Amino acid sequence: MQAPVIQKIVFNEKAFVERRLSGGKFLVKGGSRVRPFDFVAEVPETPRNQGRQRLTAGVGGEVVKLLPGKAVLLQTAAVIIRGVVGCGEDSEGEVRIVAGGDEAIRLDEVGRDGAGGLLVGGYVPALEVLRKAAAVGVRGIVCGGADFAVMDKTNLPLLITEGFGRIPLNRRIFDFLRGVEGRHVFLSPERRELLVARYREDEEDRRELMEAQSAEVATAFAEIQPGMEVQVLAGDVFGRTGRVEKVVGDQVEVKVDGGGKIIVAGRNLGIIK
Amino acid sequence: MILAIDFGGAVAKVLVVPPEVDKFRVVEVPLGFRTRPHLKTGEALIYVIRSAVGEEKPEAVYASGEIASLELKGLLTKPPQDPVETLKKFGLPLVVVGSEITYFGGRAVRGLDIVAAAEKIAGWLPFEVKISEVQNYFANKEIYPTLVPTTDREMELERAAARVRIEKAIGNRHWALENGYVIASGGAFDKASDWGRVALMLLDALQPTGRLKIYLDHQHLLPALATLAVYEEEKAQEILNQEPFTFLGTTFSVEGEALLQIDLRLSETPELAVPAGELVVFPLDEEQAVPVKLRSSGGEVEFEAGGGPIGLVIDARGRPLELPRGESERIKALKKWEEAVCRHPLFKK
Repeated sequence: MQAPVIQKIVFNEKAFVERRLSGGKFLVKGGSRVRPFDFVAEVPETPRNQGRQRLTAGVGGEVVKLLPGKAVLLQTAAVIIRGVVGCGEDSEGEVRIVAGGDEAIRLDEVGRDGAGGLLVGGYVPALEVLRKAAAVGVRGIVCGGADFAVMDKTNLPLLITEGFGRIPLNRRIFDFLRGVEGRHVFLSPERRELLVARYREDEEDRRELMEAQSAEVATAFAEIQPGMEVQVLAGDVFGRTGRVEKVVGDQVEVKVDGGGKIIVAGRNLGIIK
Repeated sequence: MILAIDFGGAVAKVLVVPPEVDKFRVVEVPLGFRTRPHLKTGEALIYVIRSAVGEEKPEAVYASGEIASLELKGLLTKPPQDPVETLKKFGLPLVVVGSEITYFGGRAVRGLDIVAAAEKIAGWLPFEVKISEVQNYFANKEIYPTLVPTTDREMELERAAARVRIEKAIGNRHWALENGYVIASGGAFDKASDWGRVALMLLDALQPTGRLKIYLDHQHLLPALATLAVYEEEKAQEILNQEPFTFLGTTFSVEGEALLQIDLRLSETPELAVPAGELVVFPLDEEQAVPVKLRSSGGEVEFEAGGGPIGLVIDARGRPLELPRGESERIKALKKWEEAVCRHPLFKK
């Protein structure tokens, strides 16, 4: 019995980040190297434009292209977290864990201290959470699941990594994001991706990011075998991870993380490792 | 050996036709790569062919379904076809419910508008449900099209959605079924736990009037057979001539209460009263074809009812079929109808 291999966390040596700024001039040249807090462009103060606006690189890497009046394209190494659904516009901010990977992001956890951040938690239980988050200046939410109905009722950038409903955040993704809490990351709901770029130029930073990725796989399919780490996509445990104990025909016995065993059709499994 | 393949959302059905056509077989290959680029490169097609016939080299490979929009002429003997166009090749009254396309008599409905359909689906569920649960379930199926329902609750969701899809496909063409027959094909039917549920699904969604004979495509043959029919009409006809469908039984839909006389050639002819608003089942063996006399407010009709796993089902629920408005009354009615057609031990698969 075969199942698709799920690659939710991928390390990419050549990831691109577009830093957008309307108008203004560039402070860097094509081909130059930048660090996260280097300024790459600025819009000078004008009677219409109160105060000078300066744009930081946000990532460590190389300036690939300058798009006059629009953006600076940077190449960096990054971990890309792949979701299944996204809504809202591109956003960025610091990672802030506000709930456990299998817990709801509660309304009272969304406060003003979340302003400017990308909140991470298990699942979004109600539209009110998204509305409050938008109202206090949260820049986006990354979660395992949310109701289908909230998708067209919010402008808040949202990345759902597992599916619709009260589905926990994939444990690997949660552990990785907890490890980079406080880091400035980039959310692209349209591409269904969260990009955690290389921050420092040193080798240790590169290694930290590389270690986060799933095992590299040659094919999109693999034979389900005892001992494999899998994600269950069925019934009440939809989205949870577990370990394969037995395979009989197309039925697979899985020990689900957090307790309990289930027997599930192999077609309702995704292989993690 | 010729292969005709229909690519569905979750499964590819491969009709394997050897030189002795009557030895045809259907192989189902579960798909798990739809969201990946393999389909475009043809790798998926090779995977399906190998899964069906191993290293054997087919003389010709034809395909329809999701693959229809792709340029795979190098791998296929002829360009791939739209499955709706292939099904139209048959002049048969077919109901085909797939995860991507629902087809009835020449017209197809593609996909499922989750927002618009959720309330209607919930209306066919014999339990209380939040609309968000219905929406989330079907939205997740769009993300993971290879998923199969695993719980009774999910099976009920699938059957309810099948009713909504069929209703949409039939539109107002109920007349097309009067005193006719229908061939039902698709996972929603043959994964039903008993035959009674198949009949109930069709009666609810098609809302036929008069007599209707029900056949089931238990081998999942139709979509792939339709693909074959486009290119190799004679071979497809040869397979059809072998009557590859299972006859499930006969239904008769009446307005209001009815009195039924079934001539079983016994010393007495049993009479059965069917109250208005009810579904009543009379078991008839597979070999039995019996004359039936039915009196109702619409007059008296006589017809011959062929027996089968579902027997003879009299539907006196009226047309159009209206579900009770109150939540508890609606659930009670749905459970009662299901019990009526599923309770007989003969109907267990």
